[in-house]
Amino acid sequence: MKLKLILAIGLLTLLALPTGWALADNGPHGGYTATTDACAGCHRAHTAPAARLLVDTMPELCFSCHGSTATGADTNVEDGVYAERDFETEAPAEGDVNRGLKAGGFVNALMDTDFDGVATSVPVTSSHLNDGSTGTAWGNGSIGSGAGAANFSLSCASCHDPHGGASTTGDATYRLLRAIPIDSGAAIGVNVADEANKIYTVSDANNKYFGEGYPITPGNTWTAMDQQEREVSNWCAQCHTRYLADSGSGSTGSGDDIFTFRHMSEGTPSTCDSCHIDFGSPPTLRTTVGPEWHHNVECMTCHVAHGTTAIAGGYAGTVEWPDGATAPNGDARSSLLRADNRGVCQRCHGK
Amino acid sequence: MKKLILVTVVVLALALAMVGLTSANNGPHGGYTATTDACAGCHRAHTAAGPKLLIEDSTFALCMSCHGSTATGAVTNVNDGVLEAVAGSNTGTPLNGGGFTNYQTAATTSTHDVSETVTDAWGNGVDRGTLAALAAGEALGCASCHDPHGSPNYRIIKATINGNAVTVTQVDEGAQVYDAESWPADMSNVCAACHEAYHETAANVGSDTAGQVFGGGYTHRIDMPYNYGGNANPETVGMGGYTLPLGGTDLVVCNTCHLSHGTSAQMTGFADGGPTGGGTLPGNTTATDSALLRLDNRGVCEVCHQK
Amino acid sequence: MPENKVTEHDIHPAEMEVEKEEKEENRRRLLLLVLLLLLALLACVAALFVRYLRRPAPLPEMVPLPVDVNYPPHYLFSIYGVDKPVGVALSPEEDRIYVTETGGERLVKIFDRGGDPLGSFAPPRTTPGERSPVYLATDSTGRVFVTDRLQHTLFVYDPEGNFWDAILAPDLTLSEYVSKHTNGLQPGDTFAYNQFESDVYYQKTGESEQTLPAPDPGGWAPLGVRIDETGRMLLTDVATEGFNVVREFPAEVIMAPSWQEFNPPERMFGSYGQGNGEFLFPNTAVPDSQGRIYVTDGNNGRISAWDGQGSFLFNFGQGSGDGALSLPRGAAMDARDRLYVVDAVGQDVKVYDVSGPEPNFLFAFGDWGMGDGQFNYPNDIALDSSGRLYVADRENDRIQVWSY
Repeated sequence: MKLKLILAIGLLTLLALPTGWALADNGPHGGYTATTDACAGCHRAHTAPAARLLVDTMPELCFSCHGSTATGADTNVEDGVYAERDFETEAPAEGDVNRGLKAGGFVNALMDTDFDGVATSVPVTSSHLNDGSTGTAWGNGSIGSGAGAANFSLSCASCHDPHGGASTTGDATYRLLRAIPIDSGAAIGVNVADEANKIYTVSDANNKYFGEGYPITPGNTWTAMDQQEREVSNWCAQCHTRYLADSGSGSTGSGDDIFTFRHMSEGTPSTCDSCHIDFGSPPTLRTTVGPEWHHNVECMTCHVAHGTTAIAGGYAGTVEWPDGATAPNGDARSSLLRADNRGVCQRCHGK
Repeated sequence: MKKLILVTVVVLALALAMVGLTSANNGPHGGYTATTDACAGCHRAHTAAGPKLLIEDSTFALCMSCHGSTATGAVTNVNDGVLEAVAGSNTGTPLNGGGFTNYQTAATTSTHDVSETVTDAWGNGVDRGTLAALAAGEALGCASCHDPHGSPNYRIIKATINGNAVTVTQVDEGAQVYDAESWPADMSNVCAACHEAYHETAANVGSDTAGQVFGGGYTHRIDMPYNYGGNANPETVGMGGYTLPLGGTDLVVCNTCHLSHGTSAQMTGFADGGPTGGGTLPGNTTATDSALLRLDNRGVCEVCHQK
Repeated sequence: MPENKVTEHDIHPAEMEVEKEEKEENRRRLLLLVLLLLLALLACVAALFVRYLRRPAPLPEMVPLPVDVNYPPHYLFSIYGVDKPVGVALSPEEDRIYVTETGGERLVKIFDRGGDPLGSFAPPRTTPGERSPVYLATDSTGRVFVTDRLQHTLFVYDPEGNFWDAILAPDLTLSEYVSKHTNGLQPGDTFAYNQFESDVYYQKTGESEQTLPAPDPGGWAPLGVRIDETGRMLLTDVATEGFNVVREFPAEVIMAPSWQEFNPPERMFGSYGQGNGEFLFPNTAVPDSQGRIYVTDGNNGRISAWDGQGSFLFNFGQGSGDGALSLPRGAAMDARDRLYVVDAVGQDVKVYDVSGPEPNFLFAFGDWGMGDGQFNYPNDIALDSSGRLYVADRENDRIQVWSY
């Protein structure tokens, strides 16, 4: 019934939206006409060789525009960079030329993961699998349900809805994120509100990634900002269910055999002065926490969504996987982190 | 089983990362860079088995992963009180701090119980012979006194213990000598953080209560020159082949008579009597009452006083 | 006679059994060996057969193009050994095929007409993660022009792939920049540019390598490049979402012997948007014999036609039905003014007759798939005068060769 409703909404959306391949929910992602030819670009009604009636599996379809050639989009997610410089009409700019995309990249990324002020475009060490191969969605499921969901297959469209209007109410969402990621097992859905001005690249000119995250609306009330940030972690937790932990979870066991004590992934740091030096206007904030767009500790505080070039040596590279497996190890254990090794811990804890 | 795997992995990880792991303020214990990988040696962000996001549910067990009897992660086997000649070999010279399970190849008779169950300390801001609770929420563990993240103090002693600021001069961190004792002159500051009432340093506190800060009867003066009263140098002269270490060049500090971690000294006769005012000392799990003393019975008195 | 020699009489029946077993074992081993040898032979034959099947087609006879018949071409063979190719161009003699790769090492690869590899090249001082060659073209002297989406630069090489110069901005070349900062360049001097580095490297003959601060990255993003036989270059520029144009560089500027004084007049048309005369990611611009220019207007899903003065004429290929485009990318024009448009998600090549006043859809060839003559996100096309068509078949990792 719910599916029918969504389909109906989708159809209505198609009929109602204005003409063209571009720029409704962004680019070809929405804005279909009643006689749109766009469907045939990606789908075949009766002769589709791939699931969801697609002409091919992702990410090839997506990379046709968003690949390293950036032949149809400014966001080159293959290399994790913004392809253009916005020097003309848009304010604020969507991004800067060859600045790293907030999510990192799938093949290469341009990230200063060792904080030396220099970023080099090199192959990623870990990324969300988007090539149809399978892995484990770590922490998927309720307390006590093992390490996660095995044989989990991801594609671009697992998380993003290429048709736009992806909220439970058919509204635009942040980065076309589906309210419920495909196969996540989640039932209710999390709507991550779209940002008013889309900004795709990290704010640091040297591509240092720490201090980036889901952008909250500056000037919002503390409670509203808190809620905004929680949305993102709650969204991630639809697949990585048991990674979602509020403050205090580091000292209170969850009852799960594996995900027992957990660093908080939503909610504010334990004390106000974890971040604040004072509460002036603007407040003075601790430099170790980076440029303070956001005050919460959320998934995106430490991790990127697509892929990272961070390295994982020594201890960090030998961390066992949640199911106890010790391979692959080394840089493959970079866990989509924003900094080399455990640099993300140090940014706040400064031991 | 899972814990075993975890421990194995940790041990493997530590073994792999042995380079630079020898100094107290080094390896996983400090010297962190902005992109350190050391956190992952002991912590898990989402899959931690213990509080403080530790990979073990017991701090003691985690420390023993490297510093225990069989671990290959460190040459300081504090479980058996041995500086291992070869890591994991269980051979070598006694550690300055003593041992938690064995010391000088015998089972310990008294130890600081670091199983995170003890919440009181003798003379902790109260008169000697009286127990008082440690600072809020504190239960004695390895990390009560040592800072695994490194410290400017000797032997990565924490800068704050039991809510009290502690300063201990590093005397041999560079040389990393763990079995030839050369205690810093201010070593008693560590003990005083919890056993404040025993840290009476004024002259004549043994015979005059007027100079004492805390009550509880007369007490041996701490941080005093050994030759006060014309005693022989316990470090160089000693008695019957036994010697005791001094703090600095000439000071009698807590550690002159006591071991920090645990002793296997045997108490018989008078010495097996418990503390003044009755009760038992914490950590005394045997009939003997060795109070972390370095020598059997009251040998520690004789080495100086030679009565 | 050695004492321990064993005669037949000495052999115990049980030992005889053992010997029998040993013989049996040896026989089995021999059999296995023979079997393995046979298998190896079979594998060799199979490999040779596959090689035979995949052999490059013999050079077709030079057949003049049919004058007034319109029928689709047929599949000839494929050139493998390329990783996600997106651009394809031919040398002026049509004896070499240049291909841009967007996977793996991201090189420009050179093949001969039979599909045998001849070499490869890339911008000097760049790693695969720092470059992304896309479209390419050759001029009448054989130089190869390659746009790079990560470098935001148009790199130019000699026919062998040796770096020649680079256009860093619409009015700035690398040789010009180095020349102006180092009192001129002489033949034999070398220089290199990588947008991810803060320095430009140059080396004058007989001197050691030196650096000078790199210029600010040019405010442009060259995407599709085409050069006509006179040397005029048409370049699409998708620098920002607010700035999508086709730039025209006159032949006398492009064909000048040196680019140390590079001052082309600013000639461009189009702007950003969905209306008439507007583009969303124009990919390639090709001229016809009558002076018109046709632009594949990628994200608008159409072809945009312009006159020689840069005035908008009309759009076509939109909507649904025959000849409707999904995502037009690379385009080429043949001698009969037939426009070939590669439709990347339509998974085919659509061909229009633009010789008359109105464009006329003729046919499409190819469909989605991995077999011969099937495409998997094709992106570009090059034509030769003998009727051959080369299509960059990106996700099938090959260049398909078709022919009339």
